[in-house]
Amino acid sequence: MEQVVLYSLYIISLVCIFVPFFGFGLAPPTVITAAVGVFAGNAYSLVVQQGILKNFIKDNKDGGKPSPLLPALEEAQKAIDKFENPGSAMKEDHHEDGNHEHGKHHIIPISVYVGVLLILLLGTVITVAVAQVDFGAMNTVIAMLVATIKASFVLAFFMHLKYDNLLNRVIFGSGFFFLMLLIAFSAADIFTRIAVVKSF
Amino acid sequence: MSTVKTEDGHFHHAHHFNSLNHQYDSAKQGVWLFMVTEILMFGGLFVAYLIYKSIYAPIFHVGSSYLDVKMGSINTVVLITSSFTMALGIYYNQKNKPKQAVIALLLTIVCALTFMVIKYFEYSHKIHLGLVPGKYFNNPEFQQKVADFVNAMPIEKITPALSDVEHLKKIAPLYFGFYFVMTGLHGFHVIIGACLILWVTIKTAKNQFGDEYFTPVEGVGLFWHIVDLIWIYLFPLLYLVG
Repeated sequence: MEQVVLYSLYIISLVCIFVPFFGFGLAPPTVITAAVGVFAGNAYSLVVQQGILKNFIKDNKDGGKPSPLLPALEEAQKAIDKFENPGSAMKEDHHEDGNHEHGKHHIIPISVYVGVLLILLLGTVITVAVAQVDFGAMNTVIAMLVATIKASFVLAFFMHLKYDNLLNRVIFGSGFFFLMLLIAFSAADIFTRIAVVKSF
Repeated sequence: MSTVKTEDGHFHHAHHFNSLNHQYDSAKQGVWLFMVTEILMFGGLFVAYLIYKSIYAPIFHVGSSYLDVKMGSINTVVLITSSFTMALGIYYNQKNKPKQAVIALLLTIVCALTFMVIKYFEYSHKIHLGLVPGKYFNNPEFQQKVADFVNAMPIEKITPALSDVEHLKKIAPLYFGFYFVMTGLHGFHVIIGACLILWVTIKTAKNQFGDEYFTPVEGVGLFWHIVDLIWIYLFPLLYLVG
């Protein structure tokens, strides 16, 4: 019960935060969608990940009077378990990790490093070569594309992100996500407000 | 430090961690968070650059022609190579080969110093020509080139921001503001990175790392690769895309 109160409060506070941003009259559907989405997400995490349903069934079986709802709830839990098969596999994975506590780190062989170095040098040559030819506005796009390919090679292999745990990847991805937001909103502002020079 | 090597050659993790791996992951996660702040700091500068470049493109076009592409390319190669040797430094520490690791890390420092020496030549050349930001700018030839370039542009391509040539001449030092701030901040990172690499080199030479514990090398490595990563974007933006 306290969970329900807690999450109701959470949803109410979320609505309070969102309303001034979207305006009362403008976008109540957005607020409602967000609130429902958060509620669904929380219900999912409570039932599937924290297993309150399982605990409820267990508590009721152990305690004196069995609830009339119990058979139906057990059915539901079975269905969830079936749905959650990949989840339980993940839990086993995690357990294995625990056994590997004193295991070795993943070591990337030197040949991979050499390969990445060659790709980066090739990328530099391509960038310089392309810049000598005039493609107009496409020059910037090509240069940024090659730079991004080079950067992802550095991230994946030199910074070991390919073999890193998911959290570090998410942390780094969030940095790029917020940078993208900054670029997108700045571009939207500049391109709609000021006439820009696209090519000469 | 919280992690010590005992007489039998094993490392003991700090008491508030479950295991050595746990400690390693926590430390690395902290470094990654720091890397995100680095990306956002340089990201702000990149966005500012892109905004001003899209409004005052001719200034940036003429400005980039004043940079030496050859020196910039050499610096790119030097920095990529240093990233490679840094990765090797981590690799040899993981393989318990401190001697090779020290050589790789020292090569990384040599690359960092090479980068800074080339940067010094570039900077002194610019300062000698008076191509500096703000009120110290003293190169009428550059301003005239910007004006000539805009005057030679077809009339339908002249945006309102480019219509006042006198104003363009006045704000022409803008390009060198971006150039010096972005490469300067990056160069500052290179110097700090070189000092950090020196620190882990000394620790490696003292035989304080091994396959069980090499967290500082990995952390410094991540920082060094980020420095490389930023230059990968900086080089085409400043030197090539005009």
